[in-house]
Amino acid sequence: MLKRTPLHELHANEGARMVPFAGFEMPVQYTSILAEHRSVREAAGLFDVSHMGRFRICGPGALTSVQRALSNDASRLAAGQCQYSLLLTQTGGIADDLFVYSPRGTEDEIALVVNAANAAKDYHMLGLCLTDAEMTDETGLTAMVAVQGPRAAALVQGLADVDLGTIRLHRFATITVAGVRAVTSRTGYTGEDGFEITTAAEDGPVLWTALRRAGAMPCGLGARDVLRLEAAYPLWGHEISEETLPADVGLERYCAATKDYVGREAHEDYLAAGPRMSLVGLRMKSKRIARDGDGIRLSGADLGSVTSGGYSPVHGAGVALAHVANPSRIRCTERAAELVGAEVTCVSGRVEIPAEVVQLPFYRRRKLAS
Amino acid sequence: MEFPGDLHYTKSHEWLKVEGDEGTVGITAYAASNLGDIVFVDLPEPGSSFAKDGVFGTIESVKTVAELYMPVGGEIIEINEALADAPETPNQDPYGDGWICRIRIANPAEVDELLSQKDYVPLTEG
Repeated sequence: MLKRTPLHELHANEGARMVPFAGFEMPVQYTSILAEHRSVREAAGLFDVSHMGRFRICGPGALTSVQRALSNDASRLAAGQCQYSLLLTQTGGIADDLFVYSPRGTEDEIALVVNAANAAKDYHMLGLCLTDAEMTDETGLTAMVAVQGPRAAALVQGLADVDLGTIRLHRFATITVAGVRAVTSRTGYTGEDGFEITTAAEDGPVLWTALRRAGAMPCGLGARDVLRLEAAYPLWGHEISEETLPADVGLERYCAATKDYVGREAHEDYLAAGPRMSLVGLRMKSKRIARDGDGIRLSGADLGSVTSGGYSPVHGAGVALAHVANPSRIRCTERAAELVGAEVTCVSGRVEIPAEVVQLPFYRRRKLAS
Repeated sequence: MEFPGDLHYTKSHEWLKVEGDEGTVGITAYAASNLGDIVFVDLPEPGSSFAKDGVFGTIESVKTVAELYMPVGGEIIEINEALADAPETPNQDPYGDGWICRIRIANPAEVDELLSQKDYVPLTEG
C-alpha cells in the first residue's frame, strides 16, 4: 500500500503522472520535465516534498544525542539556523544525508529532515543514540513544499507576513504564509534560491493552492532529479550510500573533528589513509547520454562508473556524476582536479560515448545583487 | 491518447504507414508519453537495411534511452532531418511531423504480422 501526501488530490486534479517513490505515490511530472526544469531555472517551481522524513528530538539531551548520532557539529547552530549533516554507520558508510535544524539555538530541541527512502532506517539508528531525549516522527502530521527559482522569494513574499530578507541561506523561521503557520527555511535541492515550507498536514492544500495561484509552476520528481544533477548534489543510493565513506565523495568537511559521533573513527582512519575513490563530473561529447551504472574508461583502462546520468538542459548535453578510481589515494578534490579535461569513454551497453571530465557543479546560479 | 486506425503497430510501440512498397515509421503516442521529453533521435544513414525487429536507431529522452525496432524488414530511404534540431517533435505530433524515417519494405508479407489498431490499444492500458 503506497502512502499519499496531504497534497495528493491536488496533484491528481492537475493531471500529474504519479509513480511509487520511497513508499509514497508521488508526482513525477505535470506537463513536461523540460518545461518544469525551465520554470525553476527562470521563474518559480513548486514541489511537494511531504514524503521526506521529518523528526523532532526534544528533551535536555536532544543536542547531545544528535551530536553523538550525526557527523556535523550541531552545537554551532544559532537559533533559526540549519546545517547539512551525515548519518554514518559504525564502519563510516553514509547511511543517509540530511538537514539538522535548531529552532531556538538551545540544547533541548533539534529537528531533522531526512530522505524518504531512509526514514525508517534513520529513525531506528537515531533512536539508538537518544539519551534524555525523545523523538517524534512528524512526517504524517505535516506537509512540506519547496518553492525554488529566481522568482521564488518574491512570490512567497507576496504571501508572507514578514520580510523574507531576514531569512538568509540555511536559516529558517516560523511565520505565516497564505494565512497558515509555516516553518520556512531558505534551503533546497535545485541549485536555485528558494524556500522549503512545512505546515500542519491539513494546511498543506491551502498553502499549495495559494502558491499555485501566485504563479509557481508545479514540478515533479523528474524535474527535481535534473535540477539536482545540474547542481551536482548527491542523491543517496547513487553518489552516496552505505558503501561510500565521506572522503570518497569529498564530504569530509561535514564531519566535525571536535566531537565524537558514530563512525568517526572509521571516517578519520579512512581520510588519513586516503580514499580509494573520488567523485567527478562528466559532460558528454556526443548526443548520447551516459546513464547510471555505465562504465567509464580512460585510455582503454577502467576508470570507474556513472552514479547519476541524464540530460542537462543548461548544457544541452548529457552530464553525469561518477565514482572514479583514486589509486594515489589523494583527496577527492585533488583527484577530481587532476582529471578535469580528461577525455573518457562511457560504455553504455554496446555503445561508447565520448565524454570529458569537467569541474563541478555543472550549473551555478548567478548570485543576485543583494 | 490517439492511435490512428490506418496504421500498423508493433509490440515495441512503433507504427508503420504503408504506402505501396514503401512506408513511414514512427513511435506511438504511448511510447512518446512514456519516454518523456525526447532530446535526441539517433538514426542510421539512408541506404542501410535492417531485418524485421532489428534495432535501427535510438531515442534519448531526459530520463531514459530506448531502441527503435524495424516494424518490417527493409531499407532506410529517408530520415526526418528536422528531428536533429527539434527532437521533441514526436512528443508533440507522433503521427505527423514527428515521423522518424521512410523505408522500402523488403517483404510485404511481414506487414500482415503487425498489430492492427484494435489489437495494439490493449498494450497501452494497465
